[in-house]
Amino acid sequence: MGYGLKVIGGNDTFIIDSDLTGARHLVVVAGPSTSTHNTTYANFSSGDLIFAKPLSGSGRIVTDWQDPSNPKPIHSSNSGGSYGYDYPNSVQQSYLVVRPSDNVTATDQNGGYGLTVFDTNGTSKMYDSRQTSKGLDIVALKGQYQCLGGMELESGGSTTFVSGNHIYAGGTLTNIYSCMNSSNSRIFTHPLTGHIYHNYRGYMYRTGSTDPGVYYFGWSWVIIPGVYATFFDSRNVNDLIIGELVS
Amino acid sequence: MATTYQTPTVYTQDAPSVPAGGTQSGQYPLYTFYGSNYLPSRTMYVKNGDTFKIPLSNADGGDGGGTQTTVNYAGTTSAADPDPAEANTSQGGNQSNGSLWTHTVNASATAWNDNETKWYFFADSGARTVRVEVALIEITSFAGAANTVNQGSTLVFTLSGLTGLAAPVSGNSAANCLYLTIRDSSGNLVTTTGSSGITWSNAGTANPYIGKMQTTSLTNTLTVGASMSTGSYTCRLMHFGGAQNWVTNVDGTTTFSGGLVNNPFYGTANQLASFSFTVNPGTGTNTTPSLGDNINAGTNLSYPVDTNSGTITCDPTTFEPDVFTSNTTGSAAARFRLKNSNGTYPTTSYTSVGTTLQLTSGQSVDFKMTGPSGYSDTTTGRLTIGSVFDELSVTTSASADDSDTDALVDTTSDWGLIIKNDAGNQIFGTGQKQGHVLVAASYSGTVASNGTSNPITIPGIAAADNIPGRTAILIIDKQANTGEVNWIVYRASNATTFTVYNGNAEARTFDYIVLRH
Repeated sequence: MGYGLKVIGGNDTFIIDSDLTGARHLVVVAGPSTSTHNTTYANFSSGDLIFAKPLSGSGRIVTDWQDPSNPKPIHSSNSGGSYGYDYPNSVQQSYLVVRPSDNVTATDQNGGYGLTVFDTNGTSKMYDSRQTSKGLDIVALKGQYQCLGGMELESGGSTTFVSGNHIYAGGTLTNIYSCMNSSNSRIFTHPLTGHIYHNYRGYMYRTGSTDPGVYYFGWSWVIIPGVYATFFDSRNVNDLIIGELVS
Repeated sequence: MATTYQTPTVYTQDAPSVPAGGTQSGQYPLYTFYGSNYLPSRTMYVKNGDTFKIPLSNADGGDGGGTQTTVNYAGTTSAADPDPAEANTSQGGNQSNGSLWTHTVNASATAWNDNETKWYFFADSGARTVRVEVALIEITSFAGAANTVNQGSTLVFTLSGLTGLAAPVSGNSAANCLYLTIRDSSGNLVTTTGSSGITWSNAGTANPYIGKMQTTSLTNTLTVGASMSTGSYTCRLMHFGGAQNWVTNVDGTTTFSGGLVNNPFYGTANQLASFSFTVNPGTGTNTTPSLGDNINAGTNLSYPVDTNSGTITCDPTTFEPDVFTSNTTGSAAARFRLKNSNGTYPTTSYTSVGTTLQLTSGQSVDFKMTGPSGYSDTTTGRLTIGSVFDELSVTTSASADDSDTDALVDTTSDWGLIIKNDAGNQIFGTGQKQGHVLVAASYSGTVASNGTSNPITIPGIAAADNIPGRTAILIIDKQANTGEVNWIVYRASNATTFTVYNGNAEARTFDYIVLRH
């Protein structure tokens, strides 16, 4: 490396590396904020990441990314669902908007001093300590397809948490946020056949004394009204990222 | 096989009053058990050596009945017709109601030269009469064109020297037929039709596994399905009749509850001839399946693989090769399902090792297997179609701390770079693990259903960092009007690219974000 900054932490942890051209630090630019059902996250811009947790501390959270420029939290408090097949019973979210550093304009969130690392072009910021007074420390990860999916703790489904869906263990989830870009929430009724399709992937926050932590859930329903319904477990399509808000 | 038939009771019926043996129109009506359907112009068919016994009665057979408690035999219309054994030497006779009038067929006797006999009966001084007609079915030969036939091929059966069968009836294709059935080596009737069974060129409408012949069509072509079980079979030629379920009284009621034949179309007693043949495996070739590149699953244990063989074509197109999976290395849990060219599935569930299905030209095969459950291991699954196959291996890497997706940072070190906020709390640097976006973009173009995207390059990183523990890949599905979201990311082994498999039902595109952390 002829110039710049390279920091490697214990266990060979990546901190920052000027040689990694194009890398942009993820900056917490807004939040925690409270979500509104089926309404775009406030302060969200295309390319941002959303990290969220249940506002009340426990329950399921999902996000509809059908339009990536307009992601919407889905609160489906009714668990009855169409024809008796369950919605995820997802809850209101507390969320953070996380943005790549070169898209962040603020330079006064943490005082007028600190550390700025520019990319090779001399203008794009790989990191700027003035952009935020918050950090998001990644505390758990799961690779794609590593979680089994299923309908945990849902009426009519299994009432036992599946260890294969466990992402993060801990009784204190106050500052634990999950990357919602890995989530999806879909309900679709075919206009010709009338068949109904549900698909959900998201996070379940479990508090209390028994196996507290963050779990993945994912399932699909295929419903032919009046004929039959089929349930499928859905593994995680995306890598799952859990972060702890530091401020 | 000589058979003894005993029919249901034949009842005399009200008729114009003329002397016994009279010929006035309407007298001596033909008694049929089958109405106008299958045997409209005969009372019954018999074979050489058969014995038939017909009970006659003047009681109520559906029209009120007569007063006389006996029935008189009035002879035949011709001396050439054989008389019942109970007739006297003057072609007459009398027996009480319900008594049997019997005869054993000797085809070589002059009396059977015309292959039929007609017996006339009366009671109540000719006020009630009835006639029965019995036809003798004879053939010279019945054979298939060959003693062997391959799956997917045809075998022609030909009948010659047929006498005694009534001519076809215009507008009633069910009338006056002989029937062809196929039985396997255990004697079981083959009732499966189509590609896994049989198809007749001239078949019954309700039961197409039964072939038909008539006096005007003495050949019938059997098509052996491409996936019909190989082995020995027998084709049986049968005449109609003799079964209880099809017999009716003159008023249309069905009261007969006995009989010597358990099915009027293919009951064993009605067999005229048979021909044995062997079904051999079909011959042909098919294209080779392609399961794609081997997969480096990194530290992803039990990595699920879901791929497709690509369209398989067969030559000839009627060739239906066997399809099955096997686990070449480790517990691959290889399994498959057939997929039609229009995207539908004959059966949606997957077939595991040990079971074979037959593929039709133009279908493809969905293939699933599972990667190793431990580190530094390999599983290999094989998909065999006909005489060709492809294999796919999934390999896991060693469980190094930093490549484990759950392995995170060392938080105990007291050296390095730390950024704190005004409150004095660390927000970046050594001891924490934060994310950096490497690329966020939209995929160019679409990916076909069950297809795989072009390779996408992760900029800047070393190949060794292309693992979930160091880079995260997020796929954002953008398809509108769907309830299905199913993508699989395949990271290239020892390279900085990944591809994305579209497991959805239609072509789609996506956005993606790659993070270094």
